[in-house]
Amino acid sequence: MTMHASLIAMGIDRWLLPALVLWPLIGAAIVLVLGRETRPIPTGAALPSDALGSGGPDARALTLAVLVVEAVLGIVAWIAFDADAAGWQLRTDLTWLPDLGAKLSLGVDGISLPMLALTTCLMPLALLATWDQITTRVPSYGALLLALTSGLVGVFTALDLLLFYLAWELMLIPMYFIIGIWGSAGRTRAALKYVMLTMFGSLLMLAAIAALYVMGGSESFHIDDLLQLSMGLETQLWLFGAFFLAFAIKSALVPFHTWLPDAQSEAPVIGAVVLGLKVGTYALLRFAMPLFPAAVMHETVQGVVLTLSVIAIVWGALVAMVQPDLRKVLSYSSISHLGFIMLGCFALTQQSVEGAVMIMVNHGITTSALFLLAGFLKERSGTDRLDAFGGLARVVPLFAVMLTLSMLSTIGLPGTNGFIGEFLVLLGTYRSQPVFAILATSGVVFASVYALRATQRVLFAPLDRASNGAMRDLHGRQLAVMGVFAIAMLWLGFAPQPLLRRMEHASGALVERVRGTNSQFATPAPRVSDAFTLASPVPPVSVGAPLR
Amino acid sequence: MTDFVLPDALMRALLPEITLTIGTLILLLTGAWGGELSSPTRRSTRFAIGIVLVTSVSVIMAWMGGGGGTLDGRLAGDGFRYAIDLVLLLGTAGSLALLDTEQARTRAYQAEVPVLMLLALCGMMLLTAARDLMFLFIGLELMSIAVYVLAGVNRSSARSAEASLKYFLLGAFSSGFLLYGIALLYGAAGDTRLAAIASTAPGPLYLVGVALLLVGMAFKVAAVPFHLWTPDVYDGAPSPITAFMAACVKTAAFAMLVRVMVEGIEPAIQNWHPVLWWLAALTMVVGNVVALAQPKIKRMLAYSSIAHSGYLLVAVLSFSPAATAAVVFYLFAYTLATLGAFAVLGIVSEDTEAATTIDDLAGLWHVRPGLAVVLTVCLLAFLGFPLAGGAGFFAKWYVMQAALASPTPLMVLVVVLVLSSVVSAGYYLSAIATMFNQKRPANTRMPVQTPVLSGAVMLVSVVLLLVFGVFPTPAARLAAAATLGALPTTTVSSSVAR
Repeated sequence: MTMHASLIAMGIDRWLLPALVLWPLIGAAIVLVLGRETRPIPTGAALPSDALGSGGPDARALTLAVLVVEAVLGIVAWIAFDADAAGWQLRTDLTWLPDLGAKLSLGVDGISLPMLALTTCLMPLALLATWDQITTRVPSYGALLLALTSGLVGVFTALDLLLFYLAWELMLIPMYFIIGIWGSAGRTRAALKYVMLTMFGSLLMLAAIAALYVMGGSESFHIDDLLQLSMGLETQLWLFGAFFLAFAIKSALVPFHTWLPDAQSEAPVIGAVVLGLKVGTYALLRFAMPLFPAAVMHETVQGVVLTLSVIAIVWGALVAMVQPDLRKVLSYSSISHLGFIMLGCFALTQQSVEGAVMIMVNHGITTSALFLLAGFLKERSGTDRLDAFGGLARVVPLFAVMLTLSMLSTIGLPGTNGFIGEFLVLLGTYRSQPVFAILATSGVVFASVYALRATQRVLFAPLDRASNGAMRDLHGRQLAVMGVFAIAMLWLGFAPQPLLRRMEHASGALVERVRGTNSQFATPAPRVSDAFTLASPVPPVSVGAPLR
Repeated sequence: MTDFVLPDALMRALLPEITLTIGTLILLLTGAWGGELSSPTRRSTRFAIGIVLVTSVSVIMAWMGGGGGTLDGRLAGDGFRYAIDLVLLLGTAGSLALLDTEQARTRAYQAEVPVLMLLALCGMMLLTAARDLMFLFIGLELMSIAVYVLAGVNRSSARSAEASLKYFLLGAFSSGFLLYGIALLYGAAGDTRLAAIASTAPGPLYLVGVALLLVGMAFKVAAVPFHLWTPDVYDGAPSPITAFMAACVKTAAFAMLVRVMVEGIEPAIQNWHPVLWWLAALTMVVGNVVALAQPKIKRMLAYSSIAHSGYLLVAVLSFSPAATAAVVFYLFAYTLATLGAFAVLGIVSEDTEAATTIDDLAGLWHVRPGLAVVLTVCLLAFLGFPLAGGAGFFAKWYVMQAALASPTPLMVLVVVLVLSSVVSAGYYLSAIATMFNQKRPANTRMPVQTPVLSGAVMLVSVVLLLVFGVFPTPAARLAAAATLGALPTTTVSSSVAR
């Protein structure tokens, strides 16, 4: 009996996903009520009785405990998933709004499972890595972080469109407050810009959801039911447009990307990490593309999206090259990578879709590591500016190794996790859209320019500031967290098969759904995961000094 | 349809209103004789809350007893009337509680203020029940005249007096339009009952009458371009009265609009549909865009309430039982959010004379987190944000659903609705950012401790908003039961009232 079968036999599938969504919310209430401030609130006036946080355990530790439990649940979900089965797994349906026909319907497939596991594992790591960065109003901070986690998990598991919309918006308000309260100087403007742009898209999507629901006879919001609808091309184009706009804004596709660099550079580090998660493209694959296949295959749509993707890849990389701030470099790098994901999604071959999901996961890991590293720099020196650093390789060697490894992963060096996804996307895109594939390949070259430039500025340029010479290296918690990231990057670089195997059914089903069942692109010539078992990647790269 | 109605049937149909009126008269007399007491206004306010509760019981009993309209078709006894009555009673009880807080602080009000609020409530309830344009006019005037006085009730404030006068002049003007419209409709149909008007073929006289009627009603619901009184009056009136106007007057005006449009003039509406369509679109856009530029909170909320009229007009235009239910649910959620927001403003505002600006909220979260959270939930409910804004989301959802499922789908209007909601996020979120993101300026006064009644209002609003924001089903079912009753079906005799 395999591991997942024994877990299922224990009846775990009946409560696991609802627990994943609700546990952080319960935890948020616990943290808010029981959590204690890390430091007393520095206000002169006597505090009124309804001020938050008086006694009890440290709110940070409590938040971490809740997130660790959540991560364990996420890993259990990963194990309980049967890679060889198609369709929704761990499916749970609970009654919610009988009059509307909305259900608390949760389930995962090969596309959502990796995102779910990534999110749940990332949150405690990110909190641990930024442990000392937030020390004011900690109970509220912890509660917002947990609400945000719940929203993310909800987005990755919801199968009911109304529930999905609620989870989608649930992410927004905690993030608004996290940026607005604990961010740096330009926080209010950045937070407002983020929320306004996102709401612009998501409210149009809400109108489209309402239209879809009414068209289906006002009976159900479930994705399986809505997939049965037959719509004319024009209807599909309008509704797809609304969904696509929402998801393109959320995932910061050029030209809707302007909020991302602002938000990521003003947000506290953990906010920047969460903003790097690719919820927008996930939602595109889950809802927008299967619901409106004719619109996705429409020539104009294909042309526009693929062109925008290639522009994002090249332009994002070019802009990243000239950024003075480390965090801005990382944001534009995200924008460039997003282009690869979009390309993979819309090239619509088995390989390209799998590649897109791979980038979504791996880029999530790599960018998080980079933002955390940038956060360490900021914590130690108070700035993000590249020209404020130099020569850190000798001062903080462990930091230097981690930064180099992560940057190489961003470039997509074989042997790191960044390679597989981009390779698959380019390979898959070449099968259906050779011209775009060739154009996109240039992005890989540009990526090495901005990544190596930033690395060089920080680690190897002359050490011209005395304060930098006394900088402390990674230690304790930070080192442990970064160790986990390093292992994940190399592990996924050498052994992506478990991940690929799990997403095979779902991505194949998606391509079939959009292209029709007889498409040549739906069945991969050799199975992708087999190909990666055979082809052993390039031997490990020694990181660090030789790059000078 | 009989033409006459027995007195006891009329009594039964108007039992809640009669209960309320008796209570109000008692209150008026005790106010006149009890002048030597130390705080007659607060005592009379609390007594008024008691009367409202008794009236609520009477309304609930009438609803559960299957309603009691009159057979001659002049007074409705349907779910719509009673559901709206309950929303009105909720809004009045909340406003009275806020008045109590305000009086404890300023001592600016006479004992007649709660009496006037109850009289206005009586007018509103009559308005909700009226199926006859004469009843409708009586209810409307009873409400309006009391509210004109209430707007100017703070006699020490020049702004308040100005607001009151402005409201009175414009209001009287709009009543004139309405009355003229009623007269023309009577001329065309030979009857003032909605049933009779509905079965009359629209002629020129009829159409002009409908147009004038619409102008009068658009003024009462503050639809653009008949909205200009709203910001001045909201800003000038004392906070509890503003809450009363925002919640109850709007509710009553929309109840009147829905009933007249659906029961009375639906055939003619087809002629006016494009006009109403533009009225709704303009109201949403202008309300939200102008609200962006308001530094004073009450003016901002005034323009926001104009925008909400636009959203509600979208539902009214949808003409279906689902749309009527959507209006009721929306008004319920809107009343809750209004009460919660004004409860916080009543505590935060420095004094009654200088208007509170959004900057006065700066850093509120750092000194009084509870107040900041309550105001945030209420503002997000206005915005229609899911979960954090609670029932406000489902209110907008039901409106959108009704508009899309209506006989003539209002797709474009729904898009206007969502886009203007995005605009509204600009000012709601700015206010929230001011409370949370800024430091409390050093020289600002600490808000007073929350009095019990205001605290209760906040607690009830926020809890109900949040609970119905996750499980709206009970409230939605009640709203769905609030359908307009069937009209008495006979051909109208032309001998009436000749």
